[in-house]
Amino acid sequence: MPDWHNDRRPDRHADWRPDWYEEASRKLASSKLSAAEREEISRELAGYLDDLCSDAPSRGLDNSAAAQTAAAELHEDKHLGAHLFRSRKESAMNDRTKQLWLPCMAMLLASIALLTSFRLPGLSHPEYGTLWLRSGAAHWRELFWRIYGSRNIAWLCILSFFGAAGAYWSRRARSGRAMQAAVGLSPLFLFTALFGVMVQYSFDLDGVPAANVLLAALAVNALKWVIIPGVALLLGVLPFLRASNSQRRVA
Amino acid sequence: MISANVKRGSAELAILSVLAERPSHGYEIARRIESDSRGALRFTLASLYPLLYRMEARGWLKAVWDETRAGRARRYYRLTPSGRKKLAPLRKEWNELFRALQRVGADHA
Repeated sequence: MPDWHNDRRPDRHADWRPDWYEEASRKLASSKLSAAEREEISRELAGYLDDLCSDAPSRGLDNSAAAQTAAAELHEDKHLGAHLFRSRKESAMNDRTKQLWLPCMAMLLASIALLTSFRLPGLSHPEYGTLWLRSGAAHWRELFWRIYGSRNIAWLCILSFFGAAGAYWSRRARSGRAMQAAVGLSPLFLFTALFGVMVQYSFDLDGVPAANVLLAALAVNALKWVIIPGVALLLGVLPFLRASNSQRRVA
Repeated sequence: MISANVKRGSAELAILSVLAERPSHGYEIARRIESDSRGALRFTLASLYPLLYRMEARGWLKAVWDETRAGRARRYYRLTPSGRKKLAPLRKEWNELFRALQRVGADHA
């Protein structure tokens, strides 16, 4: 089997044809492509141009017109080297990375930053009490105020925006609805994990409380940390899912 | 004016469709698309190769150097399983789009 990568010889062709390999190499000389990439691409483009010239008679072109047509194609794009470089490098990230992992990671980091900046009750010292003892299940009004307090409302509003931003980012990367929803709702993983850590922290600090206190506190805090934030995120995601639906109907 | 995304999407479909039949090198792909579309779709070197490289980087195509019947070295592209998987939904989307556009045209005729 011939070693094509080391075979630099241009196709054997008639004298009237330019050396397309040289022409293509010159064209790509100022690009950011590595020497090896430039060499391989030049050979490939030279093959294309050579085929174009060979095919000229079937298109009713004489030799000179064929060479002119081929040269015109090679020089049609002033920034061909840059475009080829970008095509090879920018797409190195696969679709799943662009549509799911990258926006998910950004959403999680943004959610952590948001939680830190808001110092939500339950997270910040000195209110970082255990789930049930400090906010005892008997004080329903206080608990619900903690859930619907002004800081939390603002946090939830921003979460809706996050959900929308995540879904939009994923959609820009041409993802499907499931992927858009997964990205938009991804901060929920953080909140669920946080909730789990808080439960464990509470057990470690205060032991297991009475069943009625435990269940009520778990329910209220699940509402606060998982369910309501989930709904807020979903509210942000939904318009994009509906937009996808309507686009599909139009298409 | 047709957006770049629409153009790129239709070009990707054309390339995937051609390569679903058999592996081909760049010039052959361009010629087959031109002849199959009866001259309506035409690729040039500058429009074809950035697209081929992008699709290759995405894992839809795989290229290997091989010899043509005339003994020339060419880089042949073939569909990967991932590219083959992409073809059916892409075809469906474009068929739906064309049907919708035809309906729009019919409503205004």
